[in-house]
Amino acid sequence: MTMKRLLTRRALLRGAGVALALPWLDSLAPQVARAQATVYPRRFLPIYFPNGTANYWRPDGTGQGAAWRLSPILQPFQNLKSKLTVLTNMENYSAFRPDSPSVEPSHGRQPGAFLACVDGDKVRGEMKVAEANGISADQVLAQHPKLAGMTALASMQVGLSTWYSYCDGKPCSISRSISWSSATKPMYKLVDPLEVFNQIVGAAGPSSPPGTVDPEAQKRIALDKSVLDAVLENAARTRNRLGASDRQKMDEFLDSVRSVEKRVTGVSSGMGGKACSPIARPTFSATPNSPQRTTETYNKGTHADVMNDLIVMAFQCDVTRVISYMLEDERSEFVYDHVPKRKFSATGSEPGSGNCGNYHGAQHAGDTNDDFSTITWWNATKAAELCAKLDAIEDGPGVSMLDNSVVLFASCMHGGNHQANELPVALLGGAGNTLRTDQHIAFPATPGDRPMRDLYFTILNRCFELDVPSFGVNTKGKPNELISEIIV
Amino acid sequence: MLKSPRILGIFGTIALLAASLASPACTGQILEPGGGGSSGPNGGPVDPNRPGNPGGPGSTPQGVDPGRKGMHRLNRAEYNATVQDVLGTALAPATELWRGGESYGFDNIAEVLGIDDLQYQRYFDAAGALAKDVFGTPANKGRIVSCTTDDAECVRDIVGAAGKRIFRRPLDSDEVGTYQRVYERARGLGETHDTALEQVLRALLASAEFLYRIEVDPDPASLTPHPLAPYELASRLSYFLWSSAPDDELLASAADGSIANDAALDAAVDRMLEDPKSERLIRNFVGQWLGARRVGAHAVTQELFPDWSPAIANAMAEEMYRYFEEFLRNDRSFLEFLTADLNFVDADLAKLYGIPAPGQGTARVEATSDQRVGFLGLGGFLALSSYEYRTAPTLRGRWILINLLCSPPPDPPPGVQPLDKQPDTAASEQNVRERLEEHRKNPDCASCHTAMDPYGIALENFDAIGKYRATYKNGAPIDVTTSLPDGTAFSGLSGVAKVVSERPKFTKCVGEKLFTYALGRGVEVTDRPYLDAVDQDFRSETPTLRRLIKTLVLADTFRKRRGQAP
Repeated sequence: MTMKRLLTRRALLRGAGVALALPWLDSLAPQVARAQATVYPRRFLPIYFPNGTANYWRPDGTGQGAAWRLSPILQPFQNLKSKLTVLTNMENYSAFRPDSPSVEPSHGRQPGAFLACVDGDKVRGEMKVAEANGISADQVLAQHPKLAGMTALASMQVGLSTWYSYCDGKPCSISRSISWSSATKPMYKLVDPLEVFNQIVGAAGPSSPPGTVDPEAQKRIALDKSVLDAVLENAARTRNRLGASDRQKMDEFLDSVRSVEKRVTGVSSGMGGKACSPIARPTFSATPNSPQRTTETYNKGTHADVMNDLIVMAFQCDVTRVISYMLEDERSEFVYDHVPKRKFSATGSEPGSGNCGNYHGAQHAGDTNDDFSTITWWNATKAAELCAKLDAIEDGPGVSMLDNSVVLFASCMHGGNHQANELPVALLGGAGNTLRTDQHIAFPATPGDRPMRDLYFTILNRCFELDVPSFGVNTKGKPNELISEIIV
Repeated sequence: MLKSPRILGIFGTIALLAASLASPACTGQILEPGGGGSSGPNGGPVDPNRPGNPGGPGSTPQGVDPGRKGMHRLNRAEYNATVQDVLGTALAPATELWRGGESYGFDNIAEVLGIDDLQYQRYFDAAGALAKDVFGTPANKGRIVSCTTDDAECVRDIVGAAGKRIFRRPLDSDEVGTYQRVYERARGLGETHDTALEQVLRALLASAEFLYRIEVDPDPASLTPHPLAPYELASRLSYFLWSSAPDDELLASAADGSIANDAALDAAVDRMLEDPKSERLIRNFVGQWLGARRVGAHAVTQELFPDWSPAIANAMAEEMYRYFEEFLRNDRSFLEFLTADLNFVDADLAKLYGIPAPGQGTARVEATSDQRVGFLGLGGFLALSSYEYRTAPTLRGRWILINLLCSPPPDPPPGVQPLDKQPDTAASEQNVRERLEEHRKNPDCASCHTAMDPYGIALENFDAIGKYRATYKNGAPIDVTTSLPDGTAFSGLSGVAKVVSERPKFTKCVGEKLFTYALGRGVEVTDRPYLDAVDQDFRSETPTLRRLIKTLVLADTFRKRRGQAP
């Protein structure tokens, strides 16, 4: 009786087009993914740091190769200079206003525009909702039919913030989340390495040895499915009684249930990467709203190192090709006492005395102060270490994973002045030989500066060949333009 | 209908106000933003005799829109409290990782509590763990498994009874059928009566009807206000005062409809405040409004303040909770919130405050001989509103404006040079007051700082962790006399406490904060008349927090809702 019902159940699942996939069988991988496997995948990794930069960011000289030299803050990229492009005079204020680089309250508005290039406040007012922004560039990419379904996870969002900083009186999603899957849906990042690990491993699917079928596992799947069926059935019924905005909320719920259903029934699967060597389950954990500084159990340096490894693992296992990474939340008040302060000068930096302090406090203690400079430098160091790891992995003959990626390392404001022009912006990687590297490009100063939306427009269309007609908002009324200087 | 007037959250209103000023500079206006609203969309009548409703004693008869809020996902604290109360489990599956949206200073705002794949996965996993735990604990299992025969009737009864507690309302027959099928499928897969029921419990706990508080309009497109269904009202009340699901008594008063009448609601509030579960109101409301949740993790430079320790931070947070509790439970006038000579100290905190240490544990001490009075004298507030290395009068002033007067000042204009980060040391040439005076010489800074700094200047007798001091470390005496731009002069902690207490916005602000927390939505223009009426009622007798809670609960904004334009 039991066996018969089990078989019937399996047949039913198949009939419903939800084949009980056996993830370890390569034949079940989607056709398109296998076809794609011969082309080295391109990846997008925006790395965000808050609060802008101290004054030691801008490189000396402009042009390519020997024509430019790394700045004191960008020194950590020394070994990667040939794969780096620094863009000076990029701006994002034109997403808010045509006339001035000042957008207030800056910490509560500019981070939302970082990857989305819209004025979240304006959208919020127009939509009459409590929080809104715009779809972010990473999500345009992740949702595009060209990438959709290619990997187990459309995208991932990770970060290192363990302290809730003040949100400047705006919805906290603006300063804590750079990725938005729609105008109203912030994608909260994971900060706990263990959760990130579980997400990667979970998405990669169960790993039973080839050729075995575990009846207990099959039964568990059938029970999960039955529970989720009831949840979906009841929610669909409740949905009929709701008004328009609650229906939308219920649809979000239903979407989430369906994606969990796909996962537990083993439809999304894969560890598709050929060079996948998962790291061990992290032993370091971090939680939001935990201490504001280094403690016996928490060190942001360790946190960053573990997170860097996990990002590499996610790409290596090809679980996703789009990851956004926030080194801290905007207006971070975290105390960087794990970082020994350095002494900065126009030519470089050397070890100084004491440790760094409160990040936001440092931002406002003068544009060249060592505290602020060192924290920005530390951010660059962690980004550079991550890029070096990606560069050490071979993606194809003579081509590294970094060569096939676009890494953006940037902030949403200039620095202590809060302004949304002269943004610190650096690109790493060649995006599969579509980006020119080893250059410092200085565009004219405001008002001749170039909007961030054009950078994303260029990345989406040239690096990922998406044919996106436009991206972001420009209150100056200018259409998107490719940034030809960065393209091969 | 909703296009005019524009529905703005309170921050929207303030942003608009700020934007309408020619420069980002402050004016006297920032102290009293908002104010009366314009009339709302057409709606049903508002009972003017009910406290808290516009048209009540002495209020203006405008605004007849009780507002609405959408499906409200349980936040972390609510989820844990709910599963513990309803299931009897000791598990608390919602960890800090279950981070949801926050807005208006609270983490229970319906509109920003969205869901994504990852969060649902957590719910799904937690549902399994909870069901397993319940069925592994005989007493808890006994609350669910009321019959042991595996006939359909027994299963239907169990689904109906457990479902009602979990969904906070009775299930209709279609719904019972849905969850009954989970049982049948599980039996078909070889599960026993008990383990199949465990699957049913798991399904109920993974359902939207449990994870969200859902309120339904008879006509979702109608803007005419209608009373909430009794079960919906019971849930609003229990999540406000208990952060959790209604208990059997509340469910019973919903079942017979009695909860909808004024006297029953009034009595329910009293009963619920008596219940130890109301500690969650204190934790979740005070923890966020007054910042008590953040004290434990507040950064302080240990070398400069050797008295600071995790234990003392914890004692300070606890003091904030107990201090609020005194006003809530002992019906003390809220007008004394800043002036009551009352502290809750353990030995460490007593030492920091310079008062005799209690024999053991934490003690309530009144009428101490020190200079410390009221909420603004609590170590937790004084530390939270300081930098880790020194006091910041501006931050303290800003904190008071934001949290006690609901009048947030604008951000600094771009490009200003801030004060340097020097701590107060024996070698300091200037103290922070003098340096701020120089800062205010810049006219761009002056307009806001003159409205913020005085509150903090008057508190300079308390250092960055709240310890009393008569002089700065360089030996200079501390001058705590100051005045506001309107000429109001005051001095020291007792002076600032009196000035802030006397501002009309002071009682209004706690009303706004509690309203936001109670309803899980921001204050909108159409709520202004209600809030004005609530405040009038609050002040008409001794303004106790109990009175405020009852007034808020009896107002139509709490008991009614409407649909939205399609």
